[in-house]
Amino acid sequence: MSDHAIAGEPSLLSRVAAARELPTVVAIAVLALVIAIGNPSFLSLYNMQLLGKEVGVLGMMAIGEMVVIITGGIDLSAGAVVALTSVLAAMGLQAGIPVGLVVLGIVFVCVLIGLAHSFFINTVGLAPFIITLGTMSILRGVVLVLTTGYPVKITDPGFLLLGQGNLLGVPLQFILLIVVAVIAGVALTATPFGRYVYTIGNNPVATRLSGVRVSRVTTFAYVQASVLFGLGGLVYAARLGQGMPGIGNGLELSLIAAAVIGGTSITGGAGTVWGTAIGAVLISLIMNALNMLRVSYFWQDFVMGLVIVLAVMFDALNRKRRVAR
Amino acid sequence: MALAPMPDDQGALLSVEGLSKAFHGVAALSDVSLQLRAGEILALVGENGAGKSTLIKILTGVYAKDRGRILLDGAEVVPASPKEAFALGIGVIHQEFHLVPEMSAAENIFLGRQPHKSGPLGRLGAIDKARVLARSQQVLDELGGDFSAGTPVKNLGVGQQQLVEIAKALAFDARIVIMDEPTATLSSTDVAKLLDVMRRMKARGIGVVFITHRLEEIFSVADRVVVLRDGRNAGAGNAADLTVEQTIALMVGRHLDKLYPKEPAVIGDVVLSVERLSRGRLLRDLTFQLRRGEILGFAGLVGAKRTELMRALFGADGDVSGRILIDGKEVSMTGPEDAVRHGIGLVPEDRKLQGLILNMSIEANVSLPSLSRLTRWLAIVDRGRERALAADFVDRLRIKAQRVDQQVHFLSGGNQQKVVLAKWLALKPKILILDEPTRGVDVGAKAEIHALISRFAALGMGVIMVSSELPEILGMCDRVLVMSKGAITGEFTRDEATQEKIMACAISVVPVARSAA
Amino acid sequence: MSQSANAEGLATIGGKAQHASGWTRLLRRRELTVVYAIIALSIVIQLVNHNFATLFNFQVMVRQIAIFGLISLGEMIVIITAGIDLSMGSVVALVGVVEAMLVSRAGWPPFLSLGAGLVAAVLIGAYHGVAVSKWAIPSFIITLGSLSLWRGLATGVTRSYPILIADEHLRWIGQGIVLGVPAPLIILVLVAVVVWFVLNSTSFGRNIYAVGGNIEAARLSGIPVARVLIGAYTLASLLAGVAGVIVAGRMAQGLPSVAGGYELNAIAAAIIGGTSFFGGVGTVPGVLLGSAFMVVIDNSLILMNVSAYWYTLVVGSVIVLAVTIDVVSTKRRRRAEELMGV
Repeated sequence: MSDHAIAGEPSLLSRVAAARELPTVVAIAVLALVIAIGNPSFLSLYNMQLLGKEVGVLGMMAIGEMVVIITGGIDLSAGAVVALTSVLAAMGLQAGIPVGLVVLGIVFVCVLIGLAHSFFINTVGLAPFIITLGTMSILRGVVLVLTTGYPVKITDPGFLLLGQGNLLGVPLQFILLIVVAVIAGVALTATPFGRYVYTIGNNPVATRLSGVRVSRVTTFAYVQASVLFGLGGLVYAARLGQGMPGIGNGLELSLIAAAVIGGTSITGGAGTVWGTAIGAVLISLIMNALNMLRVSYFWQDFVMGLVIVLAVMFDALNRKRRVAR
Repeated sequence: MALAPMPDDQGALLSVEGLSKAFHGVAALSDVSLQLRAGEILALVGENGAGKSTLIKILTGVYAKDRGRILLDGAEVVPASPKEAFALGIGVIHQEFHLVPEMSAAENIFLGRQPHKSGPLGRLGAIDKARVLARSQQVLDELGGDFSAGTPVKNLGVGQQQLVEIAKALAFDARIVIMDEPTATLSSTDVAKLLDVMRRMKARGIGVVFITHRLEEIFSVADRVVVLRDGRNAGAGNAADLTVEQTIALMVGRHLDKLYPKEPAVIGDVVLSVERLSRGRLLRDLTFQLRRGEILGFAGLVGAKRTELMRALFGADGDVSGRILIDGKEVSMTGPEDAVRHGIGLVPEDRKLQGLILNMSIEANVSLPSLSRLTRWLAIVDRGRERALAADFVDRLRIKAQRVDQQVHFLSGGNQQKVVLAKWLALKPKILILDEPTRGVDVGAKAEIHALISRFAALGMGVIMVSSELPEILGMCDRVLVMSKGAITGEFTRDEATQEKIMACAISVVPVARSAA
Repeated sequence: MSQSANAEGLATIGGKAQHASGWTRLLRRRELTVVYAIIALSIVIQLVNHNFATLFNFQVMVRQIAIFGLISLGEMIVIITAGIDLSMGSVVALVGVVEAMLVSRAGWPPFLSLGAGLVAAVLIGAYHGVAVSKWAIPSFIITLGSLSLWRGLATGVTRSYPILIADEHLRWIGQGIVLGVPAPLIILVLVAVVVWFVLNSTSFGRNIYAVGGNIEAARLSGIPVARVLIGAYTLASLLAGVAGVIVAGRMAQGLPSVAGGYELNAIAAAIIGGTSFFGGVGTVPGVLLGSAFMVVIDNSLILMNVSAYWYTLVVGSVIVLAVTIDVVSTKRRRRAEELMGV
């Protein structure tokens, strides 16, 4: 055993990480096979594009949620933000505001929401789950008041393209996911900010005592999450052709499930873009399966709940194993 | 040194014979003995690390002894858990209280041991509240408490809360009460009350073991004194026969034959000047300077608030008043990031929880404070430079690890500490604050770390070193400031300082007038 | 020993200062504040809409308080342990559905169906407790999963279709009136008394406060922390189950979509009533008053012709406000204590 360090070998750790996604990939393959056997139209281009759209939006938002979870927090307001932005976008377009300004306005609103979360968490000292639970309620209420429960139609073709257009057969939403994933992946693995996200999730005290501005990092985490949720809302609005106040109910659960399945630890400190994307694929596949296999739509919530409980329990087992060492 | 001989075994309530305990091959206790009679107050004295808390933990069932015997009333006992020790009648009052603040004193006293009413309701778990209240009030009154047992603990003062802790033991007829540094956080009025409480316990035939440094205080109440040093018996005697000076000599009397590798350093200008630094009642009006190339030691006992001072210098805590000047310019610190920006690094006391991110690699830990400087275009971290930085320090500091991307929690204490040092050295700080830098570090690494610290100073860094090891302070520091209860109670140059003088100031509660010069 | 100690103890207590200890006075202040708020709000509503102070309206509110009160008590117990339960509404729905299915579709005797529903609630609560105490899963995520799981189960099994309950006993639980007092209120009062007794006068109850107030002290005193946590979550879900039985009785059907969002209401009520998120604090009367306050707010929105859609917004704002006050005041106190060197 040499006294000095050996630099540059691919560590055992990266190999383990790869193995961690293996069961999920296998599950995806198996599930896909099962569905294809049960309903061959699963493999149609139309269904693949549908899947691609779903994976695109879900994956993009799940990445946003993942970053927050890695820092040791959580954002339960995802569904509410999606509903709010879809409705605001529709209302803005109906009022004749140009698409570009609408999008900018939405982003601005989301930034405010993220800043509010960060304020309550960092300055006031509230636990993330309770403040985002509160904003979830408040924002849903705002949506209901604005729309009195009715959807708001969108007719602007330029906007609708975002939700329904394809580029070389690949849905725009999927491309959006790729863009977000690349940016997030690079940010998390290769920038100081990304490193801080993981260290804060692992040990916020030591991170702070190393001179890192923890509150700045977490603020950015919550802001990017809200913005990504907002973009998701825009996409949903474009896809459905209307802003829907009831949309996104239980969405946060799917996002958390995708992240945890993909290896994000619910208590923070671990998670990868790639894993979350795979998790999003699995979740979307499960939803798709329920439709394709003609399982009653009424079982969807139950299945989602089951998925997340299993994922979280599996995560807990992993954590226990790590600590017991 | 004329000492009263130890009384023989007969009649001893508690007798400890030849107790030994080692951790990872390092002996914490070697062949320690003591006797305690019923109705006797025994003061257990020694520096930090002398073995007092190890001894207590063995008596209270937290640790298992390696060798030796514990006898209660002449019969051997082996307390295997805190619960068992308590059942044997050995009660302990720790420094940190374990009280539920929203509950009353009575409820806290009977926590987990509530007596139930007779009858069907009692079988369902109904608590006999009248008995709880009455018995706790009785015990509190016997201890001289002046408050109602129904008062919620959070409304009680520190001294009163301590009384509740004591009552927890007495309510269940503990025959031996061990008190670990009970006066460390008390005001002088509360200390006087506590001493009175101890006399009352003594009058009731309870054997009290009283761990403390406050020699002047205990000499007014203790019957006998046992001194431990470096895990062994250093001496014992009747309190009436011993003087404070003799006791101090027993506590610290050792040959300073360890050579500390202190390089001569050129001591330059003042790099850090602290004026009237205060924080609530924790830090009181602290004024001192640090020069380039100087190693300034901070000595003191538990409760001296040295760590709080270091945190205040590092901007880690709020509510700090006073001025901090670096190279003559006043700085304001809203957080550690400001301290780092001004060239200060802090190696915290608790390296595992505060100094390192245990399940991250050596290189990730080393690069953390300087990450923003290790970037290439577009804020991408240059992994190559990061790795080289870590490899360089592993080499220079002789960190024993298999690879640079190994997780830090695999390393030994000494090597972990070196990683923490490396992390700050990468930033080339002007001022490096070290809080107990060699605690939990093996002898070999200790020497290496001392050599490193000495080197830093020689290269012009201003070094502040908090340590509870007097030989370390005397061997490494150019100047020593002694703190006690949040104030500076003594200052010595390297030549002037002796263990006895430092200990005398550490015990004192009289702050020394300081000037900003 | 106890006799003389009793006499002596009581005598000396009488002679000591501070017996009406500070915190009971503070909490009394909190409960009084809520009472004042309810009174003030009621006066305002009455001025706007004279239908507020009618027997009919009171009966409506009382039935609501019965249901929300039970759920809020359950939520309080969990919050005292420094946890949270986001699944209460779903448990209410599931229990109603289980009961309805067993009695109407499977032909079970009514009280057995009721019992089975409550057993389901107990099992759910126990599962929460085990997850939190033994597997170290944060309470918010395990109960968030339950939120979807149990309502989803109810929805899937019933295909979102209500199941009628024809049995008059089961209906009576929700609709009956005894001497002018609605049955649900009687149930609430009985349950509240039992809960109050358990929390204040039994070891189990006091241990719940201890675990929430200082888990280390609890552990060191030999309190079986895991068992206490499991018990707390079980009790909370059981209370939700009782609410579920009442709701099913009142609506005469098991409806999977019922009680959506009730847990938010319960959290707001608990916090308004003085339960602290830091754990270790909370009283039955406070929470019941908090529940009453939330019901009055809901009622006021209806009577003042404010759109019902404002309710969600109001509940969310109340939660954020109440928790902020709780956190800020606790932190201020702790900071002061730290600076004093305590």
